[in-house]
Order: sequence, then structure tokens, then C-alpha cells
Amino acid sequence: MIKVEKESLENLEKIVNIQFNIPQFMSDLHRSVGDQKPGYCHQCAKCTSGCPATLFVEFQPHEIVSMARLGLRDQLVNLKIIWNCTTCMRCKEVCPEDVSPVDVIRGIRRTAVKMGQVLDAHKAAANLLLTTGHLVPINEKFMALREKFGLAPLPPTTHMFPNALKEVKEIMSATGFDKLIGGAK
Amino acid sequence: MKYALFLGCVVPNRYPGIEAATREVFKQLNVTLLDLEGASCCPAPGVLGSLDARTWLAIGARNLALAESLGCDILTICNGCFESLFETNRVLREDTKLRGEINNVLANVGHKYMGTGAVHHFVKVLYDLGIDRIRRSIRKPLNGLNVAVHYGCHLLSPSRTKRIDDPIRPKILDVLVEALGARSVDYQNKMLCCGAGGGVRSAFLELSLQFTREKLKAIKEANADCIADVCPFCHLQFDRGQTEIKRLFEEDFRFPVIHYSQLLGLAMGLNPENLGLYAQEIPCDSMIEKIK
Repeated sequence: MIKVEKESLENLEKIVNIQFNIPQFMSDLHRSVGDQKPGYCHQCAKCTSGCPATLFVEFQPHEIVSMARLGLRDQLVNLKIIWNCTTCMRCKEVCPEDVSPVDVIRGIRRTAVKMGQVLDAHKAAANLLLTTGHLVPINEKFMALREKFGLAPLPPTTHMFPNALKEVKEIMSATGFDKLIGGAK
Repeated sequence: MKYALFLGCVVPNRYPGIEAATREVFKQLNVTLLDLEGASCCPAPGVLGSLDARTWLAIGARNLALAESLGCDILTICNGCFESLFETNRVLREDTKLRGEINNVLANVGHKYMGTGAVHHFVKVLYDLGIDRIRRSIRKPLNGLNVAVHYGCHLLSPSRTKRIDDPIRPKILDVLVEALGARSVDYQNKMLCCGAGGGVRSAFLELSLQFTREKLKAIKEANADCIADVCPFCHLQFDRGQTEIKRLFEEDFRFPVIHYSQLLGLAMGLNPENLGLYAQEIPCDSMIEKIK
């Protein structure tokens, strides 16, 4: 980590209107579950050259890692492109230093969520999980289809076992997930 | 040999034919699959892994604990479920402090994760059963069928922990497909992601379909008869995706999409109807005709 004098950093922050090196963000990113090591990145950009998302959107994993190293939390959590990563993990496979850009991105996403930045589509998906225990729940059409294959209309999951669903809901309450994504119906 | 079958969401609730096929092919191979009663979503690594790590781990740990109580390892038929359950199992086995925290959460519902079970992807299980055993179960070899094999991402990656095959130039699924008598065709961008994962399909459908289009264009050039997958989310992305691509990009692709459980079932001589091959968005008739 490059050490910069506090005063020149503050002046720079005033001129460009951003905040560097936010300690809580750096700590959260470091402790986020995953293999991320942004400090090891030397910007070789192998990750970006292998990343398929770069074919379709202006997304460069090595740039995200660089911003993460500088602690540019507010810039990162407001970037839409951090949600365009499909987590294919090609970046993780090709990185020569085990930086794992995909885990850096997931860490940034989790911080963004804590700051209230959840995409509507993900809120909706999370609500399905909260109410049914499945991200893709069954419906009448597919219950009938299951029966055609000689399967029970409900699969032996939280769909069939109400106590199991209760347990999953309790877990999501205990972790605060229900509040995190804006409450269950 | 027995496993707890982890169904996930997309298979039981959207493509139950894959569930029926899986149950039957493993029965034919004398492998017992027990129901993991009360299992939930794995939970989906793309969405949940992006929203909150503790919740992702806790729901996964509950599923793992259920299998531990049943006394057998988990068998998954989905790359996403494999990613969540395998990685949750690995992380909680290695990190005692985190395991304690997650077990505190599970204690609320009377469960405890012990770290005594393992998580297997059905592709590896079949491969380890042996190509010979698979060949012996075949009644209708898929001779003349050209298959575009799609590995997806989370069967092999992260490869340092999964250690199933080389993530850039793998062979395992090609070998399994060719063991059925079919031909695995090479095509550009074979290892490209389908685009569905990481929460992208749900939040940015068109972007996810751009990935899929790249693959379909290459598969078309390679003159494949069908696309074989080992992940229901890839399966959905290709099957439903071709209809969506027609609507959104006005491009016509009509490749039958088949999960390896279904492909194996076909080669075993099982009725295509019972494998769900008439319950998909892209008709599989052309492919079924070709192998008659």
C-alpha cells in the first residue's frame, strides 16, 4: 500500500470530490468471504483479457481491483458494471497472483447491498427465497408437469415440508437478511 | 453406493424431466439416490453470494447438515448448486471461527453443521463409476449425433479447489458424451459462460443473452445437432434463451438443449418422453429422429 501524506490526500479529495482509502470499506473487503487479495495485483490485466463481459460492456476487472486497492468505495458501489459480472471465474483462473477479481467484485457488491444498493430484480428474487425457500418456486403448470413424469406434484423440498420452510425463514431472520433486502411480504 | 440427491430449484420446478431422467439413469447404474427432505434453494451463488455472505453460508450449511443427518454425501445435478454447496462445505471446514458463527445461526433451528460430508457433481460421479460401466448400460448408442458440449463455469471453476479437470481445456464431459456413441464437436468459445450466472440473467436479461448468442453462433458454425449441458441454469438459458433471442434480437436458433442425465437416458434406451424431451421450449424431435 502506497503511503500518501494525509494533507495532500485531503487536498486531492477536495479537488476531485472523492474519498480514498475508507478504512471500514477496506476492512470489510478484506474480511469478505472469498479468496480476494487485491494487494497482490500488479495490473498485468490478464483477467481483463480473459473476461467475457468485456465483449459486451465497458468492464475491466483489473480496473475494479485498482479502484478497490485505493479504497474508492463510493465510486465502486455506484458502478452499474459491478453487477454485470456473471462470476464465470475466468479471471480467477488466469490471474498469476491469486488476486481473484471475482471475489473483489463480490465483496464490493456486498458492501453496496449493506449501503442499500440492491437491484430490484435481486430484491424480487430474494423475496421469493424468503417466502418459499426457493429462488425459482413451483407453480400450477409445473406441478402438473411433474405428475406427468410420475413425480410428486411438490418436490421434497421446502415446498413439501412447511417446517423446513419455517427453518429457512428463521435463518434469514437471524442473519438479518430479511431487513437487508427490504423485508419479506 | 448411495447419495442424497440435491434437487435445487430449476430442475424440480421448471425442468422436472431432468429430475425424472436423473432418478432413472442412476437406478439403472445401481446407485441409490435418497431424497434430501426439506432441502431449500442451495442458495443460488450468483444472487445470494452477491447479496450477503453469511446468509449464503447459513442456508447452504443447513442443506449440508440435512445430508449429514441422513448419513450420506450430496449429489448435485447443477453447477450452481455444486458451487454453493461445495464451496460452503470447504469454507466452513477450513475456517473454525466462521463455522462457529454459522452454527450459532443454525442452532436457532436445531441444526448443526459438522463438516463430515462431501459434495459431488454428478459428472464426476459418473466419470468415476467408469466409462466401461456407462458403456455397458447403453442400449441405443447415439451414433451419428453431433453434440456441442457446454461445460458451464462452476463444474470446473474455481479449479484450485474443485480439481475436477483443467478449466481451460477440459476433457471429462467430452469423454462422457463420446462414451454414449455421440461425437463432441469442437466450436469457438466452447468454454464461454452462458451468461445466466452472477445474478445477470435476473437483472440484465439482454446482456445475459448476448453471451448465449456468442455460443449459439459458434455452435451453428460447427454444425452441431444439439447442445449438451450439466447445469439446469445453463439449460434454461439455452432452451428458453433461444426463444428470447428470437424475440429480442430477431435471430433464429433451434438447437435442442439436453442435460447429460437426459442424454445418458436416451443412450440407455429410455423413452424420450419420460426424460422430458417433449417438455422443452426448443423441440428435440430432430435430434431424436437422428438417433433412431
